[in-house]
Amino acid sequence: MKPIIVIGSGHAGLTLTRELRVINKEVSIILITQDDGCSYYKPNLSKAISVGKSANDLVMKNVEQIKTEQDVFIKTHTKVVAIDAKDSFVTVDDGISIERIFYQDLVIATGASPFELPITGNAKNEIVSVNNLDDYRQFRETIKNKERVLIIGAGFVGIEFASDIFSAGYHVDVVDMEAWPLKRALPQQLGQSIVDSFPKDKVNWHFGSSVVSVDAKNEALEVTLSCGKKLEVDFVLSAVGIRPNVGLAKAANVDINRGIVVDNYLRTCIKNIYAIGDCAEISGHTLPFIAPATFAAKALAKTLLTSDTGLSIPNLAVAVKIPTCTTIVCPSLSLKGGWEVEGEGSDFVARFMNSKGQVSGFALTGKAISQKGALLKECIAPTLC
Amino acid sequence: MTVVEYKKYCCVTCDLVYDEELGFPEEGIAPGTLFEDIPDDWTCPECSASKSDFFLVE
Repeated sequence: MKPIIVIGSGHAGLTLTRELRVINKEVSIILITQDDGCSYYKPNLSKAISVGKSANDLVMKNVEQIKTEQDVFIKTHTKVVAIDAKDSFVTVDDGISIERIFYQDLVIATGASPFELPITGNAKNEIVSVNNLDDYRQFRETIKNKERVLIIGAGFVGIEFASDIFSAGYHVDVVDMEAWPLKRALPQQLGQSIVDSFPKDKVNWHFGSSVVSVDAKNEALEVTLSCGKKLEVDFVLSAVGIRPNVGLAKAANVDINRGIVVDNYLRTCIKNIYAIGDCAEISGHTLPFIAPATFAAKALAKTLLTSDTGLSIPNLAVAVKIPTCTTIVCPSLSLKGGWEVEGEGSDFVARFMNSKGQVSGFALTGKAISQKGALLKECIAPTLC
Repeated sequence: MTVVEYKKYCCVTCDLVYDEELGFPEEGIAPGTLFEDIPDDWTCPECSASKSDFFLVE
């Protein structure tokens, strides 16, 4: 029988191969990755500098360990250049030769890449994003001997980086178009708690503004904001979010919207081609964070090897790692509704009430995080359809 | 006198370690709680992996 081919060795791809192997010891599995195939926990990328961890320290398993444990054939540093859906093969290029590999089932787990912002200036190419372990390795090198770091974006990754980088001894500026951090996941009072928890002499916030240009000046970078302000920094880090990698699927005529469109069984519009993880879109939603990809990988492993298993995701609480203000969020899938906030000081419980008056998401700060379990039970079950 | 030999379990996804001796007080799991006594619907506080995704650290 032809193999199951998985493209991508991020969390989604490696969890899928592991789960496939748990179900069936015999089936042939080939994982194709442009990277070196090691596993690491991606959320650690935005909290590793202050604890002095190198890229190698973040590796959980190297490719040889994974090959042995999972009994999977892994082609590293190899690019899938095309999918032939009609004859069920992929064309791969490892830099030395090009070959065709035929598949029984094909799973696209190509992840997502950082948004590129429309920023001008002669140093715009110096803006760095940290979206994988190699990026982190380079980032650690480049940030050495620098003092002032500007972060674009005050979402999950942006504020975790702000916390990590100021804790490592840098001065940090954070720029975001919204009026408070994590605007989509929590209300203003909680956002303000987060801002207030950072030391004022080490972190400056610039809300309601965006970066217009980055120019080299006096051996530093001059960043011009849309509000007219000019900031002199040594390093610019972009953390404005990611966009699904859909190019390969699109070229094979797989339906694309923002991500690769899949149904509740992770099936694309083409028979025997599936997508999971950050590259996939289900019922109009891309599903960020680690846990949904874990659930998707487990459901798909069953669908491919035992019986059709739809994806069902419970409410999930995500911890935002900022030691100065412990925060947990469970974002609502529906954005229609409003916040109800209880608490004082820096300890808040915020419930997102949907248009039917049900709790469909929440956010907790400070001591209120102990209520996570109760709030998860209060929340209605998320529906993807 | 019996001495309890506490064990450690590690999350396959994020490497978080559950140490039976320490428990997870902030998650409502008291120190000394054996892994097998944690409810089956408990999930990893870091990455939401299921209890079955933890493996015994030898």
